[in-house]
Amino acid sequence: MQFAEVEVDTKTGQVRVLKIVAVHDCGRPMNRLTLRSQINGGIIQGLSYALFEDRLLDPKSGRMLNPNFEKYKVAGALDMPLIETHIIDVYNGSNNTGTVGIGEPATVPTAAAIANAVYNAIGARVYELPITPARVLEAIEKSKETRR
Amino acid sequence: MNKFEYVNASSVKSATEQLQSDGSVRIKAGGIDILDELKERTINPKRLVNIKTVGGLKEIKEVKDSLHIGTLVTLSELASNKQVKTLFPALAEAALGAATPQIRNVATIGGNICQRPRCWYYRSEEFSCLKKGGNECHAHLGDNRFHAIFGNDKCAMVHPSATAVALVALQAKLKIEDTKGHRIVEIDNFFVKPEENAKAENILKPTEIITEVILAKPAVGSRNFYIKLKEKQSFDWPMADVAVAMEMAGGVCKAARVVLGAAAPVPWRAVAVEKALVGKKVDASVAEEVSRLAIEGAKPMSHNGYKLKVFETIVARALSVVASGDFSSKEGF
Ligand SMILES: Cc1cc2nc3c(=O)[nH]c(=O)nc-3n(C[C@H](O)[C@H](O)[C@H](O)COP(=O)(O)OP(=O)(O)OC[C@H]3O[C@@H](n4cnc5c(N)ncnc54)[C@H](O)[C@@H]3O)c2cc1C
Repeated sequence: MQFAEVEVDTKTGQVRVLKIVAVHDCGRPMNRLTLRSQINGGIIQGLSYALFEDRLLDPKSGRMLNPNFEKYKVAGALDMPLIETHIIDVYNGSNNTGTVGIGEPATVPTAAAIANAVYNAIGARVYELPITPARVLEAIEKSKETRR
Repeated sequence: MNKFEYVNASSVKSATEQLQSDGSVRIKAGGIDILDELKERTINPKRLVNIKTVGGLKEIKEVKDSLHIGTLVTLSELASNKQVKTLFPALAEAALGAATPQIRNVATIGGNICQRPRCWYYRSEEFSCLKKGGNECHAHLGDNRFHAIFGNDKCAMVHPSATAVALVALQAKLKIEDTKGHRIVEIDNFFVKPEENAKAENILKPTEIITEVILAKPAVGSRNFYIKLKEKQSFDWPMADVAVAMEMAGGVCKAARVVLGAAAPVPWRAVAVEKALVGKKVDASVAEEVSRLAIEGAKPMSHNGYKLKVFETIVARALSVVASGDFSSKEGF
């Protein structure tokens, strides 16, 4: 389970993630340090997916427009929130070591938590990823119209 | 990448002597942009002339009432130079906001001004556009989320240089040399619109090099600042950037320059805002009111309408900061 705290600049549509709290049931932890690192990594990837990453294709030719790391946007150090991890030890006896995977589970909830936090901040839903400034501004504009 | 010769120039003279009017010999300064162009095969020179080995172009000198910035001064040096920071915070901020620390340590001011467009249609080998001798601008019917909202009828690129935005606001002059001598060009006359020449972004001839950027020290009561907005906080090209230079007397604006970046194929002056500011005591509410004029005449395309709101916002914010003189008061991320 993950929780996100975000800040949204409602005049520019920019989103900044301030904090992620991640609570994971990871079976029996073998090495707490690498386990936490794995969760941090998953969150970084999830944040990048939520806010930036997009494979852009030219609508006419179908050719990729951002096939390099200058144009394909990946989160960097300055985009990182504070990450707080809580590891819940659970030994359920489903295999002989008691371990379960954590790589993928840590990336799965991040984008949804961020999207919900954005909704909580601006009162409007962005239904598509990544949550770009253009989409945030559009969502705010639409919600104003429906409220009128 | 195709084969090319590589020559270290020892002087401006030895560099300019090698340049050819057909553009087959190209200048390399920091090499950040030109290396990308070679790899992407947007250019195919037979020789590169490295000017990083030329002495005398790396200094920031005070000459009477001006600052002369050598073309090889790096973005990092601009961002940390005390005189630049005090007199021209707009330029220091623009330099600091560009690219990454590693790139800023290598990239030069001359190269930054002369860098080629970052439009994804221009940069891709797979599209032949107006800039490369083709006959259409693919951005018009394509994905134009980062393209121009002004002056985009023919080619919708946005000028990529951050320092250019600040330099236009600061009314810089450029010293340009060739084998016959030198000329001084006002920056307002340096950049060209696609309507004049779709294949180049400025008036530089293939036989010329920029050797200096010259900035007159601002008059007493003048202030300047630059703001850049990006999607990511880590390195990113601007969604929008703006430089403001304002001359004030007793809090009242006497003259202003407001220049938008990532808005048009050239650094774009928001002339209506500049005019509306004159004679006004600028505060946050005046800033907000006149900022609406920043998008007057804009022609957004299918994917970049969001830029209208974004430009209004940063123009208002930049004007507020300049009027207050408190650069730490900047709103937003
Ligand atoms: C990931 C990434 C992010 C970036 N983000 C930004 C950004 O946010 N803002 C921004 O402004 N820039 C950005 N840049 C661009 C970068 O700042 C420029 O490529 C760099 O400043 C170019 O300077 P250089 O000295 O390396 O130029 P070079 O690559 O050496 O030259 C660039 C061009 O200018 C010509 N040239 C160089 N010097 C002269 C001269 N003295 N006279 C005549 N012609 C000359 C060359 O022939 C060449 O065509 C980014 C680049 C990258 C790779």
